[in-house]
Amino acid sequence: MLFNTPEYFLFLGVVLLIYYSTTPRVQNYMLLAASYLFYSFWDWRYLSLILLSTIVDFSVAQAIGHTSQPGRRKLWLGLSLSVNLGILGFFKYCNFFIHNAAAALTWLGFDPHLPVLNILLPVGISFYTFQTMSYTIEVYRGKMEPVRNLADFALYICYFPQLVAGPIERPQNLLPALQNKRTVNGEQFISGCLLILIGLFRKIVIADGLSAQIDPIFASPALFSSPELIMGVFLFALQIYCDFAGYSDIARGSSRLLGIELMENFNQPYFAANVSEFWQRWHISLSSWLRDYVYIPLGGNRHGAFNTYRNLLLTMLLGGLWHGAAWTFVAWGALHGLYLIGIRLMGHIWPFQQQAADGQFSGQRLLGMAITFPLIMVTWVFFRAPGLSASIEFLRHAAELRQMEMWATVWPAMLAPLLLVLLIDIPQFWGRSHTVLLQWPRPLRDAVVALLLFVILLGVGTRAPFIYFQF
Amino acid sequence: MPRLSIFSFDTLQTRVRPGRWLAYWLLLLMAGEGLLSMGAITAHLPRPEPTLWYSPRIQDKLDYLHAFADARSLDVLFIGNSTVQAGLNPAQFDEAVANLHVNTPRTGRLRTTIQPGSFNGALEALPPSGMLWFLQIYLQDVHPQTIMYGLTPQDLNANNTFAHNVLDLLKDSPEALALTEHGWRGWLTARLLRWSNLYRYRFVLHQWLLRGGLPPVPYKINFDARGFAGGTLRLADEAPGERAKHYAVIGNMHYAIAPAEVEALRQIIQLCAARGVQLVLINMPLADGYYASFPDADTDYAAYLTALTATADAAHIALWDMEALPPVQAPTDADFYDFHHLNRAGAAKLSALAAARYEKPN
Repeated sequence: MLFNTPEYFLFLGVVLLIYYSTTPRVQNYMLLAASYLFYSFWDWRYLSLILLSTIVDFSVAQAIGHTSQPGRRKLWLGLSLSVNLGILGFFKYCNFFIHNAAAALTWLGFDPHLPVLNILLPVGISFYTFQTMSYTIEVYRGKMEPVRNLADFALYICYFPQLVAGPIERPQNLLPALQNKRTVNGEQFISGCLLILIGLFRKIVIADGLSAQIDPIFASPALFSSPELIMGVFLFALQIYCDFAGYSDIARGSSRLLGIELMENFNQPYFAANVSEFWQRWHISLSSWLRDYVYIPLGGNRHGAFNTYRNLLLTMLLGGLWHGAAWTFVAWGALHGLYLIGIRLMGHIWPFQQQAADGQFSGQRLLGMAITFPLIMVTWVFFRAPGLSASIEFLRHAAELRQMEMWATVWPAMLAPLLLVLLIDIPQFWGRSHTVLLQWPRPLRDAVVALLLFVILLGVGTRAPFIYFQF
Repeated sequence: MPRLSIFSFDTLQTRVRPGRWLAYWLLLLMAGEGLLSMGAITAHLPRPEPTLWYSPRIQDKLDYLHAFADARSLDVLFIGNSTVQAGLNPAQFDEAVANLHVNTPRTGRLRTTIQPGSFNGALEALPPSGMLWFLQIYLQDVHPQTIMYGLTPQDLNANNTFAHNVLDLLKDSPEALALTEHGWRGWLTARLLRWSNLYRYRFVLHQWLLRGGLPPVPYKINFDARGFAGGTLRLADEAPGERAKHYAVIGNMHYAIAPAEVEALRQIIQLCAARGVQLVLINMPLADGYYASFPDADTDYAAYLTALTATADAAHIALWDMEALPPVQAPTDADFYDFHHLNRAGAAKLSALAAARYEKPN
C-alpha cells in the first residue's frame, strides 16, 4: 500500500477513527495490528522476518540488561547483530555476491555454475533492520534501559508511518513517544494534514510528473545531446529529492495525526553550502545512524588525518551499499566519501568552510551551493543509471558537449520544476519550519492550500512507487 | 464533535478554517472546467486524454497504427511483447509474402499477387492480460484480417517482474479503467473522462506546469513507422563473461505458469473469433543461453509449451513453434542481440519464415 493511493488514505482514516476513540492502553495494540496489516498488503509472508527481528532483539536487550559482565553483553550484542545482518545480507546481498563471485571465477578462467536465489527483497528491510539494531546497541552501551513491554517494542520496529522507508528512528526518540500517553490538538492535526499535502505535492506533482522526461534519457543516453543529458540528471536530482522528501512528509504528517512526532529526514539538502552540510540535510536519519554506529566507532576523526579519511570513505561506502546491492551504489558512496575527504582537505578555504549561516542565502552559501549541487548531480548519475558502465557512458556523453544549441529548448524544462521545488523549499528554509505556511496571513494560506489541492488533483493518476521503497 | 480520548478541536477553530480551503478549491475546479470548455483555450493546448499510460511511445505506436490503417489496408497485425517488436519486421514480412514464388500444392498457382499490409503493434513487457486490454483498444479503430501473436515463456510466468510492473501501470491507466469500467474506479473514470474537461486535460496541464508552459523536449521513438524496433548488436560478438548482463532483462527466473495469463490468452482468442479475425500464435525463438537462466530449464519450458499448445489446440488455433525449427532455419547467436530479442538479421529470417507460412484468409 503506497502513501499516494486512495487505499492508504482510507486505511489511515479508519486507523485514526479507531485510534481516537480507544483508550491509551489499547492504542498501541491497535497500532501494532494496523502496522502488521499495513505491511501485509505488500507480502504477509515477510512479516515473519519482522517478527523474528522483534523477538530476537527484545530478548537480547533483556539479556543484556540482566548482566553486567562485559563479555556476556558483547556476546548478546554479537548475536543480535549476526541475526539482523544475516537476514539483511541473505535477502539483499546474497545474489550480488554470487554474481560477483561467478564473474571473478570466470575472469580466472573457470566456468562456474553458481545457484541464484529466487527471492524478493522484503520492502523496508534496510530501514527496520537499522532501526532495531540501534536499539540493541543503545541498550548495550547503557544509554537506555531495555523495554519491558513486548508490544511497545514490536510497535517501535513496525510503526506503519515509517516502516517501509523511514525515517530510521532512534529508540530514545520513538520509544518514549510510543510508551507515553499522547494528545492531539487541532493545530497538530492541521499541521499533520499540511505535511501530508506538501508530501503529496512533492511526490505526485513533481517527482511522478518528471518521470516522463527522465526515464527515456537514462534508458538510452547515446541518443541525446549533452544539454539533454544534463537536464536528465538535473531533473532526477529534483525527482529523487521530491520523491523521498515527499514520502517523509507524508510519514511525519500521518504520525503527527496520531500524536507521535517523527524526526526530520530532509531539511532543504540542495541549499547545502558543501557536501558535509548536504549530509546534515539529506536523509538525516541514515546519515546520523552511520555517524553514530559506524563512523565514530571506527575512530571518527580522533586518530589523525589518514584514519579520518579512511573512516569517512568506509562509512560512505557502507552508506552506498545500504542503498542497494550494486556497484553503482558503491561508486555513489565512494564519490561522496571522496567529496567529504575533499572538504576536510579544503575546509579552511572559503567557501568550503564547514557551516554557512542557516536560514539565510549568504554569499558563502550561494557560492557553496553553486559548487556543491553539480557535485551531487554527478553522484546521482551512478544512483540512477542501470549499471556502472552505463553511468560512465552517460557522464562521457554529457562531457562531450554535443549539440550545445539544445540549451535553448532544455533550460525552460529545467527551470519550471526547479521553481516548483523552490516554492516549497525557500519558505521552509527561511522560516526554519516545514509547516511555515500555517504562520502566513490567512487569505494567502488558504489560497496556497487550495492551489496545492488543485495541482495535486492534476497529477493524480501518474502514480509510481516511491523510489526509496526498493531499499 | 464530542471530545474523544486524546483528540481535541479546542484550538482548531481559532486559527484554521478547512472549510475555506475546500471552498477555494472548488472555485478553482469550477474555473478550470469553465476555461477548458472554451475552444479558444483548448486550441492552444496539446491533445488531451486519452493518452495511453501517459507514455508517449505507446501513444505514438497507436498513432502510427492509425496512420498506417488510414493509408492502406491492414492485413496482418503482430502483437506481443518486446521480442515481437524486435523480431518481426512488417516491411520484410510484406516483401517476403509478395515475392514468394511457391506453388501451393492445392491450386498450383503462384502466390505472388498477395500484397499484404502488416504492422507491428507489440508493446514492451506486456503479458497476455495486458495485451488483451490493448487489443481491445486497437480493435476499436482498426480491423486487421490476421493477428499474429508472438509469445515467450515469460508471457505465462507468474513471477515475471517486468510484467507485474507494466500491469501495475496499466491497471492505473484511465483508459484501461474506463474501457472495462472495472470496479468503482473504472466506473468513476469512465464518467470523468466523458464529462470533465479538467480530468481529460489534467495530464496535459500537469506537464505544462512542469515545463513552464513550453512545448516538450522532443523525444526519440525506438520503433519505425510500422512499429518495428530493430537492434543491430550481435550476441555472438560478446564474450561469454559479458553475457551475464542479459539475464537481468529476462524477468524473474523463478518460473510458474500463471493461470490468469493463460485465461487472458483464451480471452484474446475469443475476442479475435468474435471479431472475425484470424489468429495465429507464434512461439518466439530464443537463444540457447536463455534457458540457463531457469533453475530447471527443461521442466519450466515444457510447462510453458504444454500450456501454450493446449490453449491453441482447444481453440483450434494455429501455433507456429519457431523454437522448434530445423537447425538450418533456426536463428543462431548471430541473429540475437540478447538471449530473447532478435536483431535485424534475425528479424529478417523470422519475418521470412512467418511469411512462408502465412495464408491470407478468404
